[in-house]
Amino acid sequence: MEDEKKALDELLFIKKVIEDSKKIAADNGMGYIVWGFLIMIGQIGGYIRYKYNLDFDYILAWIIIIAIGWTFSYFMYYRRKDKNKVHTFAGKILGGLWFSTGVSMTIAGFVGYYSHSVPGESLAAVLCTILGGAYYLVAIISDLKWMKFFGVFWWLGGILLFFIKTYDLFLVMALLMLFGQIIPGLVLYYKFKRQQGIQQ
Amino acid sequence: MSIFDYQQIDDIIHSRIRLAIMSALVSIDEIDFTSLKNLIKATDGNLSVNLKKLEDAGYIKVRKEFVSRKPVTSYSLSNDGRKAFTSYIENLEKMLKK
Repeated sequence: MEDEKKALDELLFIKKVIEDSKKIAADNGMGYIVWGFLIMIGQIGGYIRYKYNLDFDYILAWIIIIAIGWTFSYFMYYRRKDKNKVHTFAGKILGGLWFSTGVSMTIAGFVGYYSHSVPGESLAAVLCTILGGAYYLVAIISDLKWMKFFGVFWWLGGILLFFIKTYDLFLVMALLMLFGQIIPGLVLYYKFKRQQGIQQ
Repeated sequence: MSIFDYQQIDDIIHSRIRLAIMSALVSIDEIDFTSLKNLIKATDGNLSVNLKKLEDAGYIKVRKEFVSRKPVTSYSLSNDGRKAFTSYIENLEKMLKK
């Protein structure tokens, strides 16, 4: 009986250390927030442009927005690489997953649009569908069950956007970004900050 | 018979601090000394001694590099270490199933 108690105690101790180890390699959510904010700005800009018939180069504006996003991601990657001396296999997979998702979305967005393979009004829906897949995989890899909800959220958002053919599409996409990208980013950010506080 | 019989339990792992180090390294590919110290809440001296024991047993791998001109020592689990840890867990689980 005493031995069983000791064995159980050891296993619980191991479980706790493993859980704590996973926490220190957690995502701080900044990438979600910044990208979500940038895309939201782009969508609101698109809505204003069409609604009020403003004359500005919308494509150039998107190129600038996406370039800012990639520059941010590039610096975040190197900053984290220098600062964070903890490397996990899950972290590597997540980094690769978000990078490949970003590249896929950038290709679909720009090349798809320029080649007329993806009609402008369907572009946001296609991007939402790709994003849904990424969120669902992040939920599984990071063991964050609540994140699966956002995968489904983006897939449903994609379905909805396939049926919207007016410029309201921009506003809906901006709202999807707010609730489906910035909010999960904030949840991760506050979780990360809390864990950092506990560990210090 | 006690489960902590020398024939069944790996003495190298069977110490709270070394068990904590091995458990941390199982879920992390590589970790530096300071992060490991903060994670398992150990002192510098105690951690160094126990890391050396694990290194001598071939259970962990050590990598030294310079980051921003500062020396950084990182640790990861070796294949032997992973096998030993798995076997340690299996022994504990066997005892619970008895």
